[in-house]
Amino acid sequence: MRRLAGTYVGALGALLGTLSVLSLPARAAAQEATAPVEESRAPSAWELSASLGPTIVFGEPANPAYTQSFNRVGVLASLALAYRSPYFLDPLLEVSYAALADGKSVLPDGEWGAGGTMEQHMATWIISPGVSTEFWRFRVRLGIGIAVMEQSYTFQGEESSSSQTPITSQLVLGFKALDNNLIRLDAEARAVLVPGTDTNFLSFGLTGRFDIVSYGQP
Amino acid sequence: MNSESHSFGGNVLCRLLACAALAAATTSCEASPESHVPMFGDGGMLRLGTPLTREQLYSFEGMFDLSQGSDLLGSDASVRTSNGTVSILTDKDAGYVVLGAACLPDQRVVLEGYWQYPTRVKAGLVRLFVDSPDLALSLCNGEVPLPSTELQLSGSYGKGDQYPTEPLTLAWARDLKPWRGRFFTTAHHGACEPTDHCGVSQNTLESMRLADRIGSNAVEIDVRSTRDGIPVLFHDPGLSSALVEGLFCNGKIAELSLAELRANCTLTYGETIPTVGQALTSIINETEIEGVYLDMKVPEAVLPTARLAISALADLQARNENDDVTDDRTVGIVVAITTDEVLTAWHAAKATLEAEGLTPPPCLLEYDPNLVVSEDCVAWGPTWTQGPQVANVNKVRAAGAITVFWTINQSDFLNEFLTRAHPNGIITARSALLFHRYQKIGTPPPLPGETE
Repeated sequence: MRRLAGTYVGALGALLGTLSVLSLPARAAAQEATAPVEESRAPSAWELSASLGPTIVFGEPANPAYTQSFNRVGVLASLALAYRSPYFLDPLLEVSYAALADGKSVLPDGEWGAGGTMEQHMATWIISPGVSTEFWRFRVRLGIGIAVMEQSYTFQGEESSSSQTPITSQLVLGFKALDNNLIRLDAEARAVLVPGTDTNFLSFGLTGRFDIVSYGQP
Repeated sequence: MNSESHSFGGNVLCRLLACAALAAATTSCEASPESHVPMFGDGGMLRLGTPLTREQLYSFEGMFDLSQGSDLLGSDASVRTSNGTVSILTDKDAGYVVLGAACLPDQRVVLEGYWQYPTRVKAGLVRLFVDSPDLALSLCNGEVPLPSTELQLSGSYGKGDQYPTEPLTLAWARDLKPWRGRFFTTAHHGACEPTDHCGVSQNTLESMRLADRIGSNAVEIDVRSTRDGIPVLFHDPGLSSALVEGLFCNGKIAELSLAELRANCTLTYGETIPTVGQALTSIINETEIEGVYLDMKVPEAVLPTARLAISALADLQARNENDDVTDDRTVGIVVAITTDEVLTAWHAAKATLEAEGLTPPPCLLEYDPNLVVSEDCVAWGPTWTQGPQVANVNKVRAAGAITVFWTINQSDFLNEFLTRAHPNGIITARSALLFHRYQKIGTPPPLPGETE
């Protein structure tokens, strides 16, 4: 719990730091706005969104003595369908895929037979219902869902994989950089926690949103 | 502040609080075990002395009464020894003291080490001396005095790494009840639970070495099979983050090869996941453990594990039959049949081994006592949840088999099973507690062939 709390605090710190930088160019424009964003809330609609951005995963390979190389930077892509309701929380369903890390380890000869180089890859699918809400130019999303954590290995020419499906939670903080009748563009930072596999990562990226069914005029 | 801005601020606060509440709800309560085995900052006095021999350590075994230090250990304690270690075992918070013993240049005998409560993050240093100068001199002269009321240990204990200052005095009161080869204080998963603070992970070589020092004379270890068919020690089917570390360590044991496990996974305290072969070698060569309960979690592991048990038992037999009596060792190894699927695999394994001219290793059956007899197993391993089952214990005993209950950690239940069923052993994560309760209220079970 202590470790997870620390992870959340760290992740939120990183999120806020990133967003404060992202928000600088837009701050002047925001100050010019005479009415709060609240009051110009778009009408109810089904909204489709797509996100893309790099990720950085926390944690270390288990055996540094064997590790030859390790890359913790990956990429996340996601699609979400949300219902923008007249109330302050909007329900959504998001499906994401993230290629998180890869590495190479060199094993000596051992009980497993001859040694050699093992390639490791880690990726995850995340299926996450959630809610989002907006205040000022910020948009917060929280999701709780299932992660399909996938490991794949290549050793001695043999490929193998394993997977687990733990519970995951994610917190996304977005800054609405562009908002017009056709498309909305957010700069986002996302913290994803998968306690069951002790996997936690951050993602920074852009999210484009547009209405597919709208109930009324803006 | 006007009413509009107040409303806006309140609305935002409400949303932030809602998000914070949801965020808090999504974090899990994963325990992060903490452990610290204290050590003397200056290396202690043991380094200045000559370690007592294995034979001399037997002189310390017995039931002791405490005249000082009962806050730490209660009013009495059992003292047993293993190679290089004197252990004080109590029923107060299942606590134990693990000590080394040495003769100092000034002809005093010091016992030095640490105390610990496994379920709490509490531990401290202990330093004791043999009170009687004559007894100390006798030990320093290399003699092996018989345990007697002359033996009193006095010194002090502390908290954490603090120098020990609280007085601790215990005096030998009587011999221990027979336990070697007689009553199996069987360490669950090697020793300790994942939520304990023993400083070792379950099902490891380190946990079995610890079990030997904190009151166990048998170990129960969980066996699964890797993708490449190597039996390894691991309890759960999946690589839960509560048990393993490593970014690339996810999935199920059955999906990973041994090479992948070794490259990508370590256990909570940094240990590797051992193979059954490593475990048997370590138990035989590095401990005085007398019994190994190989808990077959999956049928795939039965045949390769049986082969390893046969090999280990053959090595032991060769050691015991050679001219060197110093390497003699008695270890019973049983393959535990836990389910009908494992029983089917056991039948197939037996047929394969017998076709190769090999004698299958002894078996233990966990569920039906009638099957223990019909399958010609040497032991029955019932769950505690069915109660002491005195009639069934006597039935398998009459057939020449022993009974080892699993898994009892609470003092009240231990008392009930010890006094009613008189089992040959109990699996527990509280070895110190069980050993001491057996010494206080237990009855030595009959030897094979005897009846109560």
